Amino acid sequence: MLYRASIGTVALLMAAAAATSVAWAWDDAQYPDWKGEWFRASPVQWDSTRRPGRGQQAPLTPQYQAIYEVRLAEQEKLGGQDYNPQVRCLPPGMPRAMIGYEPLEIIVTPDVTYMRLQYMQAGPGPWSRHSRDIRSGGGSTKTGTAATTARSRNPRLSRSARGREHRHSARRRQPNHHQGADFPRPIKGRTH
Amino acid sequence: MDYRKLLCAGALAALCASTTGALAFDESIYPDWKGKWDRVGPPRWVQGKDVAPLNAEYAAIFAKTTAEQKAGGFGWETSWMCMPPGMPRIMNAYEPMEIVITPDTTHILISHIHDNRRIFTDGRDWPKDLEPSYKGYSIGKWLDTDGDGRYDTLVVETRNMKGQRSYGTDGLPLAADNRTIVQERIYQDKADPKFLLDEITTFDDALTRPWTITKKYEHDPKPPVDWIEEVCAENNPHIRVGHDNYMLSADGLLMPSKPNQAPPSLKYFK
Repeated sequence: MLYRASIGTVALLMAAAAATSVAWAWDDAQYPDWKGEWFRASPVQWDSTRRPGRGQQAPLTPQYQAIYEVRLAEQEKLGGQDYNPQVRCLPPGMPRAMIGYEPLEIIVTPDVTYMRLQYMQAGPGPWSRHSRDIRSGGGSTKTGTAATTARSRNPRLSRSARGREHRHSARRRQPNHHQGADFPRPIKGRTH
Repeated sequence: MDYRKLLCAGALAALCASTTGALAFDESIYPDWKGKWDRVGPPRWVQGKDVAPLNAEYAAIFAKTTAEQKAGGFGWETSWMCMPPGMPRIMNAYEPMEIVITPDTTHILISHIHDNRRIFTDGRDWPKDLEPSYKGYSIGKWLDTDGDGRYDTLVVETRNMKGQRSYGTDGLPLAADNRTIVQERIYQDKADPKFLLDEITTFDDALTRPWTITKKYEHDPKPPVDWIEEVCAENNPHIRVGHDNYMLSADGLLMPSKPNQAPPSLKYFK
């Protein structure tokens, strides 16, 4: 009788504990491990298997093929890219954002998967940095399919022949070190 | 004997459960800071009757900036040309803030001008060779201050910033040597948990002493449906030419931003 009571108690406690764990814990073991930096593994044209520009053979309608030809001519003859929103420091929007001009970070949580695309936009001087976050939801945990909710007003396909590289400043230096004795010690044991 | 087998099975099941727990991210030990957090009050650093403890050199720079702003310029302030605010000014939260907590990193997301922060809580040390950034490099640690088995406070230190930075649109300056260190203590207000508090202490060579202020954010109880996409360059009427600022008129023409301002040089248009 004593054993039966003990078994009942153990079973009850385990069931309660399991229910509590399910309610609170997020089992990230069932999601893919996509942590870290993801680098673009191909050139910046939209279809990386084809040559840039007309070589993309984009299935444009005649109306937009004509617009594209005007832009290619502007780029080839005049050197301009006024059609390209990025030269004015505007974000490329979707789907162009997924070219991944800068490393991509994917943050997986049960409710939202965040695709953090942080990139430099080489504009008219060094004053042009932007970052974007694309919050997506409702996706499969296996395939990563998602309904993307952030878009820009005027997304364009990638620049073709003259892809301008976006580089961080080459300037590097060591972390700061204060000398004032009246400053408290930092969290990680740095001495001021 | 059967009872003993059942007890052994129970113990094995408990062991399995504890193993599963090791794999899972137990968010029950972290505070629930999901949703939108809106700034309480204006995005100014100086609060109430507080006075910025600037040293003489930077007090003079601030006075000059104030005079320039009265004349139509910007002085030390740079966000008019879409430069990121950097730390600690990011925590003015010009747009709603989202906090994403994972075991390794806490992300603070604010769609403004490059305001998103990563606070590493994985126990790492400061990197030895790191490119400076406006937001700096942040390392944090979770604390259980009341011993209830659940973290309630995130302490953060941020270093390795670059500039030029100010605390707000008034151009209140941080030092040009960019040796700023920012320490934060982020927690929910125990008296009213709908508020999040951030005690921010700034160590900077423009200051005569470390300067502590507290920022307050209010939780938006509505489930977030969408988030504002702020794009600084979109419809920005300010233009910088050389070292001076001009405006773009509604009809797309260059116009002065100050009385009697000379036009920029047209040397390269000849």
